[in-house]
Amino acid sequence: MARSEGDVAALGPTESLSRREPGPFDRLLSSVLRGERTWASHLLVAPTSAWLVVFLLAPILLILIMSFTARGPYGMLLWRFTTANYVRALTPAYLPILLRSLGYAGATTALCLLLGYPFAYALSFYFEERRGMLIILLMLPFWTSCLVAIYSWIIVLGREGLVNELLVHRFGLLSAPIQFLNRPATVIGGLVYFYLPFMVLPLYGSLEKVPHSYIEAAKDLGANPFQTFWRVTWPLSLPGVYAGSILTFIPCVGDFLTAEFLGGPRTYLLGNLIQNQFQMAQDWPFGSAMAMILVALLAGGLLLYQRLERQGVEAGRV
Amino acid sequence: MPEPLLRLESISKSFGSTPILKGISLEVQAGEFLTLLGPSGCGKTTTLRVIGGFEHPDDGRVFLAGAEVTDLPPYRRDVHTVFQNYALFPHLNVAENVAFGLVLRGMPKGAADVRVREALALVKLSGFESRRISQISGGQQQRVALARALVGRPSLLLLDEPLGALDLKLRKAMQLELKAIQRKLGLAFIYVTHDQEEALTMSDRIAVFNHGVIEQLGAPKDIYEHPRSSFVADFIGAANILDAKLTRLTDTEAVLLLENEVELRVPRPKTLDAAEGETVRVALRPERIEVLFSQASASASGLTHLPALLREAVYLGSATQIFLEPFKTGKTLVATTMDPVEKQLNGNASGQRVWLEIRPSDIRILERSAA
Repeated sequence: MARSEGDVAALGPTESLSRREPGPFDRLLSSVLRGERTWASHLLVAPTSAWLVVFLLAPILLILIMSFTARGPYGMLLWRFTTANYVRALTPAYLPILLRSLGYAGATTALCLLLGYPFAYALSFYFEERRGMLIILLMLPFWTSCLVAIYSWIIVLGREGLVNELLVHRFGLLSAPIQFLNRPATVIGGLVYFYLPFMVLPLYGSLEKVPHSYIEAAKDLGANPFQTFWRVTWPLSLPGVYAGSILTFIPCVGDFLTAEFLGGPRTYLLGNLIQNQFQMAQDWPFGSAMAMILVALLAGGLLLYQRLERQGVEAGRV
Repeated sequence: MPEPLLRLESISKSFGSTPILKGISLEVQAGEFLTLLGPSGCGKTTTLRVIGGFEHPDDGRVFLAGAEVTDLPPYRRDVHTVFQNYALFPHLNVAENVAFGLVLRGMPKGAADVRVREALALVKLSGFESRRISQISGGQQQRVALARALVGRPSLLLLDEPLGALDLKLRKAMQLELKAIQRKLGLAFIYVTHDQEEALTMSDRIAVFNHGVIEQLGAPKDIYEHPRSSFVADFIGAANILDAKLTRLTDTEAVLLLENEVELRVPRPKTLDAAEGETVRVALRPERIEVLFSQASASASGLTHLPALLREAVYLGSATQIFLEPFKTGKTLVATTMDPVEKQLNGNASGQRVWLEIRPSDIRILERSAA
């Protein structure tokens, strides 16, 4: 829309703002602000894209290629195509490890949900003033190195650890120390300790968005506190439940540090198996195949979830 | 006198150190349409929330059909609320929203379906049963909220500015429709609004709130014609508020000196808490001032004529608003006329000499002047 000089002058005091002809930068900026996809908007995502290509996509591709090579006699790679690693990975011998990993991850996710939901609920509805501090407390374990945290757990739970020391020697409540380490419960407990924030934060995010007026409307219509929760708050927090469960479950399946330090042979997980192939066994092709199976499993699960969610959105459920 | 449906007994409520309600007492009869009217922050919504059970009063008691409910939670009271933002559940469709209260009561599905269909027909939303809340317009959401509150057949419905988010035209249509539904079902409505026109259109009685107290409670006509304070006169409709000295007071008559200048004899109001010699506020509605463009012959009909300067005339479509200066103090009066006056205004109107015609009985004596 072209405007003559006279029209601009007629606009009065604001004319000086529009007097300057828009330069190329103005046009670029306004196109970005309008949400048009130009080379400038691509520029904004370029650093992240480059990072992901170099440090995520490339390594995964490398592992994919390696998984189809063979192991040489001294652990070096033999560059010839073979599917033997996958055939070996899918033999029944490794099935218990896979199932154990899925089971531990599932148990961890369920426990995180059970512990995290009340916390997120209280955070959203009751502790408005102290919210910031409570979130900081929740995140505190993140601020220390995870190795330091895990060694601390060993110091606390070990055979000669703090708990046994107190129970056996200080108070004499037990005659022999309890074995905490190398037990499934302890490994799962460790996983819960590490992944709880991944569950709480999305839960809090979706619970906090539930308007108070919905809760009042439910009560107004005759719902007691339990019915209000079950029929209104819980269904509206489901997106957070799903997001938190995915964010907890996926890293749990691949976790190896917790089982490595707090567990033992009885709690050997997929993560430990893969890690051992790359270190002790020096069988990179087999480790790669295992890693790819894990990636495929998780990616498949995610795609399935997304598809279900999209169907839910189309039906207006979410 | 039968036991009223709702009785509030000197309800007080503070938030922190800010008093919101200062001893509200109120009675609502079955089938009555009562409007709580006032500016924002006057306590009308808090009163509604006390009745609904969402706020516990610091002091005072709430009775529903004779039984005290002050300490009962909302879900144990036989009242339902239509919330300002509707608060429809986004995870349920239209029919599920309406059925929400019935399902909680354990009503069998077949019976509940019939009731839901009836309620939706009542608000003219038949056929919308399976729509998502996000798929219907604001006006339709408003109707769903109404159906959801009505379907449980409460004896008392609370409505918190339910039409506030609708555009003017839809709001006008819904006002009449709400009133029709209320009459048809014979329900008592307590309706909160800050829109005085809405209050006048719909209510059997209006309670005008100001700073946590009820300034005046009465029928719309009563409140409009006989406001008891300058706040009420100013809030309901437009009013010219003037200072006047009560120079003489007899059993039937009061003599007022308006703005220290114009003497008027007006009928003595039934209630008056000012004595001779005191200064009071008086109100005069703009539509009760006639503007004459030539001096009228002194009439014997008890009308008063005042010369004035015309300051401005604003064309409003159906009416014209005329700003006048009848006093030496320069105090401006507003008059509204439905007559076409463009011709007499001769283009540039300001400064033109005109005459005001006032009927002294249209002047309302309000409270004592603070000054």
